[in-house]
Amino acid sequence: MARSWSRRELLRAAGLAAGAAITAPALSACGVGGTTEHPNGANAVSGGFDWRKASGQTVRLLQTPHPYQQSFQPLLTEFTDLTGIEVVVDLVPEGAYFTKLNTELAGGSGAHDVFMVGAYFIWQYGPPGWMEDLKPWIDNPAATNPDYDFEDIFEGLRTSTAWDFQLGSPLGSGGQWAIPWGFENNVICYNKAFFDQRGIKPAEDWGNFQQLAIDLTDRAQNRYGVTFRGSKSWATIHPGFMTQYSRMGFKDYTFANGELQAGMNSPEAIEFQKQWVDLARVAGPTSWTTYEYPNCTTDLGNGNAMMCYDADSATYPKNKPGASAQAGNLAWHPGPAGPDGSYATNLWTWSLAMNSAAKNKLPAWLFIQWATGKEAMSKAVPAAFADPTRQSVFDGAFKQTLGAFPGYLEAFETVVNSSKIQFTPQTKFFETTQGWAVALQDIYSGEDAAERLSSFASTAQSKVNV
Amino acid sequence: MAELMPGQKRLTPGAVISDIALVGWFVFALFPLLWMLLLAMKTPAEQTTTYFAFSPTLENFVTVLTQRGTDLTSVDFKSALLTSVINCGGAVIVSLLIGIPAAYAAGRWKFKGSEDLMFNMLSFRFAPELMVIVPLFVIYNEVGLFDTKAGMIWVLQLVTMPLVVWILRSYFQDLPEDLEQAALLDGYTRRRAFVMVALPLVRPGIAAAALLAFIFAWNNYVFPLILADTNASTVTVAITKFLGGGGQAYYNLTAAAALIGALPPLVLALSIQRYLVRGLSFGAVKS
Amino acid sequence: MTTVTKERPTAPGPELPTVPDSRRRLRPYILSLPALLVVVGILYPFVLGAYYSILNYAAANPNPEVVWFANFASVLADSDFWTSVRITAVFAIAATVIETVLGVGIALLLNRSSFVGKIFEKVLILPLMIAPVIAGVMWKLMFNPQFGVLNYVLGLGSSFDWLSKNLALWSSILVDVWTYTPFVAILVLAGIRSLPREPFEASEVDGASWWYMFRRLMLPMMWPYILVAVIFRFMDCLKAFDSIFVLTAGGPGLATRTLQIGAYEDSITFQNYSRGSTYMFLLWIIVFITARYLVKVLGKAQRRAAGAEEE
Repeated sequence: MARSWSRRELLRAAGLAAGAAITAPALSACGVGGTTEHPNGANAVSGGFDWRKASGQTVRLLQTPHPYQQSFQPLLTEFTDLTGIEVVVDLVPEGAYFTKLNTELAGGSGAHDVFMVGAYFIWQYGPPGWMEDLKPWIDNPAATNPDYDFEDIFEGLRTSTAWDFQLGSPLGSGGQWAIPWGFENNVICYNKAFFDQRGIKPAEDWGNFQQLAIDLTDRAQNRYGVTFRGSKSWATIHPGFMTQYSRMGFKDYTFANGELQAGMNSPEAIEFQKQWVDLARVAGPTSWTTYEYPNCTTDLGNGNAMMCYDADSATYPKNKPGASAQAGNLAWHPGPAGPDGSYATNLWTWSLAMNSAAKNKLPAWLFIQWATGKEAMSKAVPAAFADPTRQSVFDGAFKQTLGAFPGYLEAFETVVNSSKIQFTPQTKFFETTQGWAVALQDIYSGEDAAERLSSFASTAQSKVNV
Repeated sequence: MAELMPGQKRLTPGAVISDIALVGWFVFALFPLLWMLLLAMKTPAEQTTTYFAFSPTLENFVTVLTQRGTDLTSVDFKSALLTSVINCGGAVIVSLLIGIPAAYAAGRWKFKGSEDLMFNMLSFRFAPELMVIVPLFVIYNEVGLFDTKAGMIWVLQLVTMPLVVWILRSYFQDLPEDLEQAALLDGYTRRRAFVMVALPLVRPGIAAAALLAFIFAWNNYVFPLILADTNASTVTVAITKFLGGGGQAYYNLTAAAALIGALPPLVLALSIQRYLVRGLSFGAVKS
Repeated sequence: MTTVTKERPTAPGPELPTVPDSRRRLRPYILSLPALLVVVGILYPFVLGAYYSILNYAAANPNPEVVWFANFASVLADSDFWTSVRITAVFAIAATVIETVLGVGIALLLNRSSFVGKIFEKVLILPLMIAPVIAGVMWKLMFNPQFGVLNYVLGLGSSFDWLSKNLALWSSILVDVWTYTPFVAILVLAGIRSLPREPFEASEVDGASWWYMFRRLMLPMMWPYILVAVIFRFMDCLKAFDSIFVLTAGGPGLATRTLQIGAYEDSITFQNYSRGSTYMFLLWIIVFITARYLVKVLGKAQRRAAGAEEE
């Protein structure tokens, strides 16, 4: 036995050493590691603008099932008619979407030209150079149609997808890494029928909001006051939590003395977070620590949850006739304001981005500008496309559909001017924000809020400043 | 009169208790499957609001198979089924073609390095998939195996080959040599002796190994997710696409798809069942 | 079939004067060559993956340099890593033990070939037909306190959380037991069915009790089959990912964060590939060592079973 051990160990060691010797050059040959050297394609486009400039070529999209994507599916043939470009769509289930996208971008294969992306992902995919800067494309009249009107897109959205990747630089600086396609404000959706029955109105400040949720809770009736996300993911922090956190005047980090300083461990912030978690325990879903947003909207639609603090476009489909048990009973409200009346709201935007290693850059850009253009977006609106990112489309086609969604427009107009990405951009976003969710889960399980958040804050601060 | 093994008794209190215990297990095992079937027959409005009282519909099965009539974008389930059959069947066949000779060699003759080879095959099955996924992704793109059925068949060897080789080696170890010797003395070449004598005797083992390898390959999720797009994507990935997105979850479609997706391995299991009964002896002892 | 006392062949096969000596000696190697090539082919991406663990390759750092064992030092000093080791160990041991006990019990019961048993044997394999990732989705729906069928049927009410911090790991084990106990039962049942009858008939003639026959004859002879099932299940449980991730994403807190989930977080979510690779390399070492030990035990059990048969 001892002999076979050493033989095997030797074989293995030899194999590993040989492997290491071969792989170093092989790795770089394979494109692993090393910033991808893909020049921006905008300068290669010249002449006048013509939709059929890339006729005969193909564009490959990577998408995840979503109302945005579904409402555009029937329109894709129109795009092909207009441009002569064939569209190939690869759908990846939502839970696995970023797994696949991450691997593809890190591997540098350029398998897809256009992909759906959220703003935070730009902070991770941008620095290694995996994304194409779209600013040169927008500014090139040979590549962009004259009616594009980029400024028609809400300003908060345009800035939220632009950054220069420097620590401490605010959003809006630097390149334009994605074009906002659809977006969501985080507000309250509540069961208006139930409220009217009891003669209740939604709460306007945080204190009354908590009390209202507690009063609405009756576990014997399988009913509880408010539902919001609690799963072990960065996605738990960014919707309702970050919105209310910002309204209360708190910041995640402040940039001072050349570094980011954590803000979630101030005594007032700790108190707020403790209240948030207590609310989940007393008036929230039973299995809060596994709740993702489909669970939240399901409970709202089934009538188990009386309020939902999450994306307006996630709760929007639940009010369509036949879509849920409570369809027709739901209404929207901006949610509780901060102590100084602040309606600061954190937004999420699904945007379209171009792979810097894409093989079909011009067709990709033609697709992106078409999909985010006024005409296509207006056509997509009737098919549950909420919210459109263009002011003109919002004022036009979208507003007309809102008749059956009481309070939606008012909530939107109340928050839209203070709605932006409330987070401080940093390249360790997912790690630190998931850690934040874990901290909240630990407090939910009984740990001391002050201790837990202080330890989290110091860990996070050391990570973001590397 | 049937021969009895220890535990095999006529109808006694012990027998009744044993039957009750069995029923207990099968209630536990079958209840979720039954529930899935009910879920697969519910409309979207009823999927999370009803338990056992609802108006059943077969609509979901039709939708899954024909991609028709939902606001959910088309998932080509039928071609995913076919691709899975090709990928997994192909992987098992390749494993058998390569593994049978190796298992025979290792089972028949204890040659220098056979133990090592066998253990190495086992240890690769137990390597975490995520460890190899990024290098594989890079390599596959370089050599053009990305999103190809051949590429999937190759990577599924990580799953199928160790099972096949390990199960079959024990069978070959137990195979009495005298039968082959008799064939050789009759003038057959070694190869013909193998094919005509040894192979049929290990048929149960081949059936069992093939079935288990097929099932594990069929249920694999990570490899087809990352290493395939449309050409080589499998059923297991396709099923998860029905979960929907943007807040609208179609659990009913997912359940329907999962039940349909479980049919091919089930058909395979039923068709080789007669081999399985004598089947999975790992050959420590032989009767 | 004649009962043969098996001795492991230690020399190449039967002699035939017509075959040249050298070719005969080479034969096993030639037969194994394709398999060896496959092993090498699989070794390459594996070595690459291991190579990441000595780099500092991450999305935030796309020009990696070799940092030798810095990642290992960092991971081994991380208390979260050790928590994950503990959780993975608890999961793997508990799941394997439960599945083995239940699987052997079911196999013994089915072996009686009662009427009930014959029916159920046909559907034994069904839970295996559902991929773990899908099983996780379905069980999560069943576990839901608000609308899940389990709390309804068991009368637990809407405040009972199967996936709370105290219960989440055990609920995950429950799902694994549901899926894989049939795997153990099938293996063991086929093993039982292939045992020779003579020793048992002889003992029954001698008037031995059931318990005596089980302990002295059946169990030792079944042991190798049980052990193979244990090896496969234990190794797979150490790598547990699919169903647990769907159920809890490794939460609440760290309650169900197995090693492969921890590796997933580092590699995929945070795109810190080097750290994730380090996790997985350490996991692989653990699995490797455990597998070697279990295979040794299996070898001993096989020899003992062969001895028991001769009784």
